[in-house]
Amino acid sequence: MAGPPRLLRFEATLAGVARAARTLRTLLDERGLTGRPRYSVELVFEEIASNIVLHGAPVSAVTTEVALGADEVVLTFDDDGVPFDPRATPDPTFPTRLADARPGGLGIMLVRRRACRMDYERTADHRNRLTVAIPIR
Amino acid sequence: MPDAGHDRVHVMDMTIDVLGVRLVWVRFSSRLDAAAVHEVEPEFTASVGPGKNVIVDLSGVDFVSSTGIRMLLSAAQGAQARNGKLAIFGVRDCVGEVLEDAAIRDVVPICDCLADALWAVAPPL
Repeated sequence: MAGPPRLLRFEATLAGVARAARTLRTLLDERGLTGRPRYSVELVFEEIASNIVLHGAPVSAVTTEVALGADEVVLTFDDDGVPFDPRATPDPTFPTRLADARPGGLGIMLVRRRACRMDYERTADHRNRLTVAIPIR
Repeated sequence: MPDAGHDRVHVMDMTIDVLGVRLVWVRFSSRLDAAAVHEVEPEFTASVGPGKNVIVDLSGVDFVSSTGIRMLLSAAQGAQARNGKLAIFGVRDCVGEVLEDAAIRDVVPICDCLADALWAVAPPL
C-alpha cells in the first residue's frame, strides 16, 4: 500500500550513505519488502548515493525521496555536485581474461539492470535531480 | 576449520585466517557496500601476498554492491600477479544474481562449496 514519500537527508560521506541506507532498510522492513525487489531498491540507492559522494564533489549534502508505490519504488536523488547524467554513461565491456578486467564502472550498469525508468534533470538552481523507478512486482 | 596456531586478522565484518604458507581464508559477513569496503579493503589487499591462494567465503554476506565486486576483482588480479589464485564460494542467491550481472564468473572461479574452491586455487597433483 502506497504511503506519503519519505525523505532521507544525509551528509556527503560514505558514513552518511551507510546511515541513510540503514534508514531505508527500516522503511523497507515496515513495507514488508523482501527478496529480489528489496535487493534492487537497496542496490540502486547504494550505487547512486555512493557515486554522488565519491565522484560528485564538491557536494554539501544529498537528499533522497523514497516513494513506496504498489508496483514500484521511486527514488529521487537531489544533490548540488557536478553535473552528472548517469543515463549517458556507456555500459562497461566484460573481459574474458582476469588480467584484462578493469575494475570499476559497474555501478550504473547494475542500476540500469534493476530500474524500469530513469529521468535526469540539471535544475535551474544548479542541482542534479535523478529519479529512478524500480519495479517491485 | 582453522587449527590453533594459525594467524587470524579480524577487521569490522571480515576475518582473515592464514592457513599455512600458501592459503588464506577470508570470510566476510553482513554487507560489502562502499562504506564496508572502505574499512576492510586495506587488510584484505594486504593478505594477498606473493604466492598466496585466497579463498573468499561470502556465505555470511547478504548484500554486495559494485564496490564490493570491484574489490574482489582487484584482489583476484593481485593474487594472479603474485602467482596465486583467488576463488569465491558460499554465494547466496540474491548476491549471485549481482555477480552474474557483473559477469565476474567469467574471470573469477565462483564455487558451490569450500572443497570446490580449494580445488580451484590448488588442484591436487
